[in-house]
Amino acid sequence: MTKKKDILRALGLLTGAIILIGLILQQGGILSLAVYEAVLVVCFPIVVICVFLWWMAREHGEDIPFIGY
Amino acid sequence: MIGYLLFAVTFGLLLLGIHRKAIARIQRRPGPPIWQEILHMLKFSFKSTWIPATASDTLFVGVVLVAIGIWSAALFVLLAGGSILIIFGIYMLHKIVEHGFGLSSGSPYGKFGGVRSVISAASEIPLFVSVAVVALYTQSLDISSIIQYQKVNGPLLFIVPLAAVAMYLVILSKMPFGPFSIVESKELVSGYKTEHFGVWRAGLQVSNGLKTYVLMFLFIIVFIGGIPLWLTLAGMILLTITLSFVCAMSPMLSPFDSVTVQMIITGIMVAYAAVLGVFA
Repeated sequence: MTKKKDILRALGLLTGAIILIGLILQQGGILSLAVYEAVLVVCFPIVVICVFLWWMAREHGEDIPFIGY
Repeated sequence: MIGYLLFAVTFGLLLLGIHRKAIARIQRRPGPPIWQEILHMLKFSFKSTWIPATASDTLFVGVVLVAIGIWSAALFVLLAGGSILIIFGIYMLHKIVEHGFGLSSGSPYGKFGGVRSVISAASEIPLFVSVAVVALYTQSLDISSIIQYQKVNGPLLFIVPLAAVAMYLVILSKMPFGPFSIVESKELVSGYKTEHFGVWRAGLQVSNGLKTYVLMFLFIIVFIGGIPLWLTLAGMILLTITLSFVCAMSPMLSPFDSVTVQMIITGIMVAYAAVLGVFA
């Protein structure tokens, strides 16, 4: 569980860093806006889910949903 | 750009909150605070989360990432003044995403929600007609060209009002608690998103915020034109409130009635486009 949280934190930080570096490069005129937007489209969802999974309350064992009578 | 993305998520969720509040006030209920949907997103993100035993792990998680990704892309296309056809394509992808949400969980409620999502594809045909009519007048599908056309000729809302109505109905079919919201109907618990709880639902909330922002923004840009941001945001709030009135005062239709009504509207819109095509 802790290991999984560590991986999520690392992945979140990595994609967050990519977004930040992309922003700096784009502001500096090295990266075009279209490329930076493509980076955001890929990285933004990963950052969001990783941050959420990192700070969520706890992980539960898998459950079987109600599948009918 | 990342700042704008976060702003779009927050404002989109705020619009959904205003929608809920307006519906409640019209129905003489106090209703939740307007920031309730933002709180929902945060609440779900803190909840205990897992993947159901019957789910396809990859699809179950991947579909949430895709949902956020496609609406981020739609926002950037909109801001860049790109082709309206790309946004139309993303809208179609969202249909596949809804289907993926439902099928990935292994729950019958989710599956029925996914199936209804396919049935409700009838609601997308007016969007196609709306795009066709706009292209007929502006001779372009680029949003930047559509804005330029409106600078010279005035808002398309007054030139082709029925095309605006068609797009309005498409947005209405995507709003919660509306007459065409059959994919989230209560007899299916939460429809396609029933088994996506906790962090997955929080991700879906992010996607919903973006989707709402993009669709409202698109309507304002395509039918009113390029106006200052504060006026655009005010227009989006006004548009939301009009949608809330429709949702508050009309019952949710049964799936077959919903499709029938949408097909009748589509027939009228196709006839309208044909008449415009002949006489324009």
